[in-house]
Amino acid sequence: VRIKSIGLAWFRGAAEPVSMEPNSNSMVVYGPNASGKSSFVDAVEYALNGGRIRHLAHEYSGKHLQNAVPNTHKPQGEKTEFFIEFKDHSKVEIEIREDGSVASSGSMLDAITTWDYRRTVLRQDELAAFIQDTKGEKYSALLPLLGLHQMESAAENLRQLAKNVGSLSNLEQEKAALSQAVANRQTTFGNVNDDEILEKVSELHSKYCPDKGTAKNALSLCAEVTAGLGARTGQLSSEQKRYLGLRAVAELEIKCHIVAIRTASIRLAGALDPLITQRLAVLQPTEVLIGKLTAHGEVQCPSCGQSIRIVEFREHIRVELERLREVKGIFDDRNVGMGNLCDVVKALKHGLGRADVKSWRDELTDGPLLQCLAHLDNLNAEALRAACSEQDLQDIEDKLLPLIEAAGLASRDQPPDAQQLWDDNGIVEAAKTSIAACEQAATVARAEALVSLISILEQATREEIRLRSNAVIAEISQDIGNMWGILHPQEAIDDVHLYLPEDSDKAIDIGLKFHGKELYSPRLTLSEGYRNSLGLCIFLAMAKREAKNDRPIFLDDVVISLDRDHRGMIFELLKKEFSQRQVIILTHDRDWYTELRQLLDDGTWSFKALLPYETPKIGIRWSHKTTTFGDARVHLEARPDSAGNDARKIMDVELALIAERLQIKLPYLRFDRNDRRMSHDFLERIVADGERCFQKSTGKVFETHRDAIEALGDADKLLISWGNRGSHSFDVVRSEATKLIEVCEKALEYFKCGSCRKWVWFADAEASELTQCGCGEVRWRYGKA
Amino acid sequence: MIADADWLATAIRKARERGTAAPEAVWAMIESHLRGKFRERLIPPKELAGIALELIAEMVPTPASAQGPT
Repeated sequence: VRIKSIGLAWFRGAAEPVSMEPNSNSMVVYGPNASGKSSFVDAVEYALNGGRIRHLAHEYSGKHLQNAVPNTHKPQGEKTEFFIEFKDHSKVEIEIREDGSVASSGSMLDAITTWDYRRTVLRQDELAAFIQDTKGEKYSALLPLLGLHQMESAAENLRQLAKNVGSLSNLEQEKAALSQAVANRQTTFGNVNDDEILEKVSELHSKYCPDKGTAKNALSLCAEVTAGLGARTGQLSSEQKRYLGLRAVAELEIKCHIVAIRTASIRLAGALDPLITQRLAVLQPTEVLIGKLTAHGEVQCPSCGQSIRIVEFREHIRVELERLREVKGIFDDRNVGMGNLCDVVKALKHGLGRADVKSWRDELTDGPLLQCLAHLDNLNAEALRAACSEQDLQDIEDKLLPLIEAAGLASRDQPPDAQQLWDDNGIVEAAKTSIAACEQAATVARAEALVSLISILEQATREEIRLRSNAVIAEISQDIGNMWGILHPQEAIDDVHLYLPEDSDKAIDIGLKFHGKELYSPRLTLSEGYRNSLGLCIFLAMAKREAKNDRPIFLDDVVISLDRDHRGMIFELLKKEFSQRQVIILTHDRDWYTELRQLLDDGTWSFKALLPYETPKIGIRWSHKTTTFGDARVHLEARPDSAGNDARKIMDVELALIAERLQIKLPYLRFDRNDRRMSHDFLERIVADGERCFQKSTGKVFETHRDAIEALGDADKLLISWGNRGSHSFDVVRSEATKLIEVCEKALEYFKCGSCRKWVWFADAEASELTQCGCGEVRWRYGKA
Repeated sequence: MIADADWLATAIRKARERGTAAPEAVWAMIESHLRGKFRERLIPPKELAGIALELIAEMVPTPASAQGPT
């Protein structure tokens, strides 16, 4: 997917429609500061990121960037709009209205939003962004490259599913109940096995249900015994029934629940005060924090005012969350205690409300126990489940405990029959619980197995993610290392690579060797220039992963902090790694632009320059100076004189650069006349010096590069006759202009080695005062001039 | 890069090797979700709770004793 053209109208720096037309090829755009280069990149970012341009998003730009995107001097009635046209003529067309809302169309509209900005565009201020990101942010940035989105989603869904299964199957409560049942069994039966318990139940069955056959299972056996016990209890005297009723009341445990609630309340009181104070301190500046968390790698602590790295701040939050969970646990304990107390009070009300114990109640004609009974009757037991104050607990202690104690006293000397029934009932109830506990244990085991299964699947998925991340990261690391090696050959910083830190999940960092010493972060030693250079390598390594999609790459002023030597190596990198990709380079560095023109001018690159910005109403303008022989040939048909003139202009510019590189000595001219020399001035000198300086290897010795000198001489002659005519009159015919272009192009071509295709100034042997191509076949001995 | 389907097969094989017991129906349900929506998006809590309940019903059938008074 290559870009054919990008057109802007009243968008950012643009006024009347203006377009950048790389025609699906690579392109270098030169423009002085503020000439509007980045407006084209802004359009691309706007389209990729659904209306967001990161460097424009601030408090004054408006929610939809409506104050930042339109040209500030857009006349009424004009539209702020842009389009991106692709190689296959598909388009994205976007109009931004006054309020920032968008009208968009085009067949590529949805597809372009799937492009990853961080693999498409690199701006100057983003160079070191990846390096400065936290380990987690680096991981997030690389995640799309790892191609593991689906696995990440699956792992996260599995994690949440395991949590849901745990909570919805009441696993924790079931386990607590099971543990209680096991304790009860121990109390009632001691260390006996299930068969012995069943034997005891069978004995009771024979005793209370003699006329019944064998029940189907243990639980129905217990149920029949309970029914038999009920029938036998019905036959008891009212006195015996009264004893049983009071005994049931006396067995109620109320004190332990009161203690549990009080303990939890004391712990809560201790935890809540500082907790609330701290929550307020943290929550008040939250709005400020949110903005900073997304914008930078550090935040200012609202408590101490110090800058804290986000990763440390997250640790702080983790500790706070743990504290909150602990407090939540205490709340839960308190609620359980209140629920239990509620159940016991309800059981007490039920127990003392039974007809069996009415006679006991009637005996309490006066005295404090009567008041206690009245309190119990009026008490809303269910309300205790939701709220239970210290006063409620005190009242329960004062008014209900005496009732239970009195019931205990009254049922102390139980009639033998009733005592037996009571004990047998206790055995059968405990047996029921024990038998049910077996099923409960199986249920818990199955629920735990399900949680475990899902968790193991999650774990296995995460292992796969890690394995694959390692594999992909190794590939990206290899690319980063190679690219770094191209930009920084033979330097003491090497083995630049990405790695997955052992101690953390979802994290990636950058390691390197600095003068042989292994370092875990480039931020420890690298200068700003080197960090930016590394940032460029990382971006390009990530962008390289898009090779199969053939998406364009935008480099917007990325060499600003690189010195001339390293800047010069970028073309090597682009030639080696990105010759098959569309690369759009925007720069305000005229030297680099010129250098790239010479180094990359192989037909797959075009070069355009922007004029300096004048006013918002004039907007972005291209310079129409011809820059290539291809451009000159375009005019051959209609205006051959213009084509001839273009060829001369190209030679003027190119020969000036070549003369500088070959260290051609020219007479000193005052003022700007130095810069106004014509191609003849240069060619005359180059041809003269070339006799001694321009050499070609015959395999054994170097000889004067005769062909080159002849071609340069021919070009000089034609430029004097036809080139100047083309510039000053219309008296150049098509065949003459064609010949002129051909000869000029051929002459310049001789500065390039026919074997290695490198320019003769590719390598400079300063000591021998000569420059040569990559393989040494052609050379220029500037020391002999 | 290993094909998408392979990671799932690998994860399931690893889980089975670790001896996690579950009825085939449970495996099938989880596998079906993993091949489908589980890898396409993060599932909203309500939908996830529904899936969890289905799995619980399949894995932890209501015990006879909890079906009502005997």
